[in-house]
Amino acid sequence: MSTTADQESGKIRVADITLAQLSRGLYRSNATVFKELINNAYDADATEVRVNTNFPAFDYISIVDNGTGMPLEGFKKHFADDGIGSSSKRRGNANETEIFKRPVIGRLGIGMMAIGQLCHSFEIESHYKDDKGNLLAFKGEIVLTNESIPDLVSEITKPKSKGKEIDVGEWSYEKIDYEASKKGFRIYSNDVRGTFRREMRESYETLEEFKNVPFSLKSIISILYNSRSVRDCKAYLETIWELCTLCPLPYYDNEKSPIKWDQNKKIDILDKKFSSFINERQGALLGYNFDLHFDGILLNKLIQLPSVEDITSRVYYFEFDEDIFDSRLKFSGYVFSQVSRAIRPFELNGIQVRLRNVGIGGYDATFMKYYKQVETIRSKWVSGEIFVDSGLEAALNIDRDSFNEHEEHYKSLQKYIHEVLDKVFDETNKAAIQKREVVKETKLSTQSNKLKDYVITASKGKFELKEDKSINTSLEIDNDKGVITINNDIQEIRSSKADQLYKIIEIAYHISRASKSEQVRHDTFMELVKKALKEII
Amino acid sequence: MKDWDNYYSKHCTRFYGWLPASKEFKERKGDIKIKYLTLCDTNAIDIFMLEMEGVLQRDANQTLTGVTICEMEESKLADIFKNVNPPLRESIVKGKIQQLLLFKDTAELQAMDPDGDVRNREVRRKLNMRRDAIRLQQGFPFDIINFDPCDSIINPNKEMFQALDKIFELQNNIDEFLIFSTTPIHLNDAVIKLFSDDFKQNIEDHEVIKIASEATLNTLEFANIDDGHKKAAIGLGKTLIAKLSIKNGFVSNQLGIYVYKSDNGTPMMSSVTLLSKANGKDPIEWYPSEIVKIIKEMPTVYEPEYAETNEDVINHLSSVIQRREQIQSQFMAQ
Repeated sequence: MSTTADQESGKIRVADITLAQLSRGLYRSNATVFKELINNAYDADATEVRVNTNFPAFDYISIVDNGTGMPLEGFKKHFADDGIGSSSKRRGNANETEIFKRPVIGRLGIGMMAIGQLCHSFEIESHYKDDKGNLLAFKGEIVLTNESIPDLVSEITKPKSKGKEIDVGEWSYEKIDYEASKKGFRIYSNDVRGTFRREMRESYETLEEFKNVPFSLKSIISILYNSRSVRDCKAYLETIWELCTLCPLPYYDNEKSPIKWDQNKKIDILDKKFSSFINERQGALLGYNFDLHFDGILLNKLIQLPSVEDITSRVYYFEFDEDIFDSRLKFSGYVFSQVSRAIRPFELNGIQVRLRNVGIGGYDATFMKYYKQVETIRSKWVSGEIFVDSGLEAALNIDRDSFNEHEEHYKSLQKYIHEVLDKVFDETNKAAIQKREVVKETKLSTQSNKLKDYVITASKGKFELKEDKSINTSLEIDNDKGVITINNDIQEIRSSKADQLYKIIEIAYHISRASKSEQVRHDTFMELVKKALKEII
Repeated sequence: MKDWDNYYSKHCTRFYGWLPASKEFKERKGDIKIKYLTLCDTNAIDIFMLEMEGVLQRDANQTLTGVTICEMEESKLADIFKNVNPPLRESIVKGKIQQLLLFKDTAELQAMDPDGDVRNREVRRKLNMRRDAIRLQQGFPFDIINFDPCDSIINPNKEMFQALDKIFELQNNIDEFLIFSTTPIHLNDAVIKLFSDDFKQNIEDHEVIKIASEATLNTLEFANIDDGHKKAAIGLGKTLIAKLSIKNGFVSNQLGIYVYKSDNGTPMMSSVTLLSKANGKDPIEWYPSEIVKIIKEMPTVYEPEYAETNEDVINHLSSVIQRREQIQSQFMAQ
């Protein structure tokens, strides 16, 4: 390694093998990679982060923020002195950022390497003020080795290599002049992996409407909410969706809330605290003054419930604040259920846990492994968010996208939510049954009226239809009085629809009997059945 | 670092040179969407200027298509994305324009999967360059080209001039186009000799050029031309651009040549040239009069003192910047 003060270079070392995964496949999606870098910007008090993918070529990635930047010492510590995972962020105790008092997200100091999943090499540039107020800048380059993880693992696990640090690439930096317009941190790469390019292009190449609409969040919402699933919209829109879901962003739209209650009169908010909760939450997110742009689009949370207009729905609010194993666990949130229709897009179905405003792992459609309802159709009607303000951090896995499900805080959260869901599903089930009954009654009533009109028309006024639940059969014909009486409570056939058809056939038969010739009776009968099927069934 | 938003000298050239020529060109073209290639740098003043003045147009969806940006510095791309927001629909071409234009494909690279992940970094670099080179070259022809590469294009032995030659070649399928060719004025001995020899030949071959030279330059020797800017203008317009035009089957019409100073004091020259398909027209029909025009009328020099007190230029640049900011905030409101 050279020792020139203004320039240096060397090998990238990692503190342990698990962190070596960072240059490969630790992150489950493109969005979670971007999320790491966005979180770093958030923690650095940036007011603006711009992610660009050189749409529609996707052969260049840049993430630029205007935060406090990364000091050169931090960069050297990260890559040279102690290895990745050893930065001050990991050992620091600050819970809030300095300027905007945002809850700090990152603790491990490994986020920057996340981009290694999307590119073979990358450059960084940092323009910052040091502790003494000096305005400084440097430019760095990181080139990752292309050795496979199994090769790296076998290297580290050799008996003689115990505790050895391994090389995952090379780094270099040089000092440059400070530029005020570049204050902050930027990371960019023209060496993007082919897998990323290919999958991102799929959206552009397969979705016709995507090519024609303006490139705005509004148009993207329209595409996503008209789809059954975000996944149908392919990787590019999926990435945007995930970032909107996972990043600490305010809610979209004028109402600034996930629940569109002004547009839908059938939503029942079961706890008055929900409004103030959402307002406070939105206020806090807006107050953090954090804008995220993706390919020029300003992102917000895209949750819009209910997903169908004018549908019976309920919002359940909850809050919890207790010590669990001597450390505080505090969370609040809501569960939303809409009766008899699945949440769209599918990806909104489930529970989203947010730890210090950052989404962890996307919506969990198992509801944290709530097995009572998860297999039924009704679980598709439910969506919710949990905002964890204190605790749960110890349960967070290294990828910051999943939890250790055996950890005490997680277990407590899970238990609490399951109790909430017991109530939610119970009431939703009852509401669904009630709705089904109402629908059934309405349908029967409509059919009954149609049948009455049909009888009069088909018999040319000779017969009229009456309903009487006191008769002992499903249908009685009184030729003398010209009355056909039906009792819908008695079904000759189990299926309601088939039973209705049966009654129609019988009525048609009796009416057609008035004709004299057999051929005419036959034709009349067939005609009457056909007409009834078209108009009634 | 240059502050493009306050670079009035440069904007004189845009305002008095590029813009009127572009507007007139657009007017003649009518409703067709103008295809524009630019090396615009981060502030993209030229793009927003042309868009503001109706040369470049947004479609019904407010998207600015038909614009291709080529940028060689990777670190600047992020700033270009920010300033030219919203996305243009055509992605930015990355790399040095001369390398992209002069790129020669190889069988080895052709055989590779362009989206494959190759272990060797150098091979990846070549594949990346290939991808950008193909994208750039397939984008031709353009209606208007802003060829402002920061390097000198005056030396025919250098890559940048060869890149300009390639541009003319790639423009083969278009009847007419406009090109702004900008270069630092740097006349070394080799270039002066080239221009001198060419000037001498012109004097011998064309009486009208000889007369014009005597009357305007007071000399028939290139080396004796007092005005360095005049020398550069004649060399650029005559020896380089007009000759490239003839070589590639175009008629060259020099609309203006402008001189201004860069922020570090280097004199810069920008020519505004309208090229039309020759369609068999003999160069003798247009070349001599073209050279006489250059000798007599060009260049126009914009001194900093003039530029920095010219209210028309200052106000116009200000309105372009406002336009850029307005578009950015409009788009964010969506």
